[in-house]
Amino acid sequence: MGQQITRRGMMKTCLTAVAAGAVGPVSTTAQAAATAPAANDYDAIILGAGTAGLVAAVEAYDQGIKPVVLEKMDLPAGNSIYAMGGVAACGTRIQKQEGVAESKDDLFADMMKVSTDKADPALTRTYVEHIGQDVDWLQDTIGVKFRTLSRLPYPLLSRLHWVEGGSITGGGMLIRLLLAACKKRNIPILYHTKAVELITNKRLAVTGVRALTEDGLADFKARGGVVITTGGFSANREMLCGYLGGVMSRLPLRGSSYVTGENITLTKPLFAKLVHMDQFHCGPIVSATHLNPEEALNSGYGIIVDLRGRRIIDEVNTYVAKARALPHLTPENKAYQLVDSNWPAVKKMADKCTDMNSPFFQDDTVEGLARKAGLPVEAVVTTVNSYNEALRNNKLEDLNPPCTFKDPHAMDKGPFYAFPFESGMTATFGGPKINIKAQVVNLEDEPIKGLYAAGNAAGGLFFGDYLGGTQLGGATVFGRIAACHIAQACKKGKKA
Amino acid sequence: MTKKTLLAIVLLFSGLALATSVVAADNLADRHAQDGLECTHCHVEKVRSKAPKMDTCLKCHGGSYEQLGRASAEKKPNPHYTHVGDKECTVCHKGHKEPEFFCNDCHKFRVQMPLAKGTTQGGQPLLTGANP
Repeated sequence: MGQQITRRGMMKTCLTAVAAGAVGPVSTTAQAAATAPAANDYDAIILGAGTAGLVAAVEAYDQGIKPVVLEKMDLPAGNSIYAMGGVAACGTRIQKQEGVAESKDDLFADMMKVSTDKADPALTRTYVEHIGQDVDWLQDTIGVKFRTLSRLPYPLLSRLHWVEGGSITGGGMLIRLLLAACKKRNIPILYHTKAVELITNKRLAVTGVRALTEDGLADFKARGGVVITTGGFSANREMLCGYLGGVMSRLPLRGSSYVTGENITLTKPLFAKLVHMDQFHCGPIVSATHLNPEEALNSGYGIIVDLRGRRIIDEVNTYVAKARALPHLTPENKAYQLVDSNWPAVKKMADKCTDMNSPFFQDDTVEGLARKAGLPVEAVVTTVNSYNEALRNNKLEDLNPPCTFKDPHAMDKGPFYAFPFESGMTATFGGPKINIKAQVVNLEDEPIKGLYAAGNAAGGLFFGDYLGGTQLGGATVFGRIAACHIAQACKKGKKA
Repeated sequence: MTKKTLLAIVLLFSGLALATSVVAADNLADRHAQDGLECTHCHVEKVRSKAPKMDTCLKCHGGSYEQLGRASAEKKPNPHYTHVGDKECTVCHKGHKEPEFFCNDCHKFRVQMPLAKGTTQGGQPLLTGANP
């Protein structure tokens, strides 16, 4: 991995051209394009070296056109590398080999359901129609190795194809393999190159990109189109405050610090239709160590208490639902999952914390545990006793809040453990709306010529929640579609 | 002060440090100097004051990043094979100051880096606000 070409050499000619054009402050109009002609010509310019961007780059090359990837950081630094690496799919070769029959209609229905029917149906349909062959493509063309299918997570069907990551995240492995595929094809990936403006013609069709490089501004010309694959704006606090507002705009990050909303800043001047701007995903995190305590929260054991030692939520909820509720339930956005040794995997969870040097507390008594965790001892003891008493009397649902475990377990077996967690921002779902060809549309729902988006940079596919494995899946599906459409346009000799 | 002048001063003092160096190396540059390496052994960039690139380090260390990753495979985490990709060596291994463990920008791993003062990087994390 690492930089694949010498960017400085490639920059020389275009920098000369920019200098000759006397570039002033960054503008958002076609005027800049006229005074600073592009000197680096490509068929497809792809912004951001994440899953969607690298998939688009490989597909573009394999379609016979000339792509370039502009990445603002020193390496792919978006959310993909933090992803566990699941891809939700139906109709894959792996499923056929394992005798699993997952239908497109069922996947479609479930994706719509988790979005409360607010996801774009056409994009969702496109996803289910393409994802099967795209998972095969990840195997065959990129060399991704998937684990054996397992019936997780919701809705417990054999859809999730986990990228085998070895000692690293599945997402990190996916990016490594995509980079290797780019390297094999000599696809240029220009690091430290941040797109700051889309260059347009007098009809407001996108003809290129102005980017800030280590040596200054440089223009890149796109014969076929520009694909925005910069992710959302989960690390842009100003945008989070503006579009989400309130406590959810101040969550610690679970992923990249560099996903900062270029999907919005670059496309808004072209009157892109920005949709689902207040939508996002969050999950549990220990912000100090970036440990994901999801196993403890999904264990089906124990209770969750706030810093006052009180239960705050029905523990039957998923870890995502718990994380989404936490900032509204506690002013500190912090709580403890208390579990006892009835949970068979508690030692494994404790070992995970130890390995990551992440805080957790353990004691033979509830009282001692509360003391070690710095929680109010009397309150915690009372809460645990009340829970156990309600369980004995079959009155867990009468608690406030109720506990509706179908198979509840008493908290009576030491040692007892306390695992702290917070709610953290995973990703935003808002962005410029795309159509089924991955073209960005304007406020009149017309495609903005030459402009595409994919992955979490694009808006429309996700709302509310997302079905596990559809983020990487969506990046793959629409990354490939964008590249194919640009290739078709190039072959026809016109801008799409 | 021009960059050249600055570099000259830096190199002069590096030379003095080399001449008067004591047994214990404080940083990577000192250690290299103790091993008899000239400043220009690592500082091969066009702008000499810039940190050396990965390829320069790999000539003496490991040969390739993949090989480095294999050599440190037993470490937890493996610092040369991570989910963030292959960072430039000098992101962690600083030439003229203490090393910084990049992973601990987000994590708090207990790691002993070469030439790091103290026994651990990261230390004991605390969940602030634990007391109501």
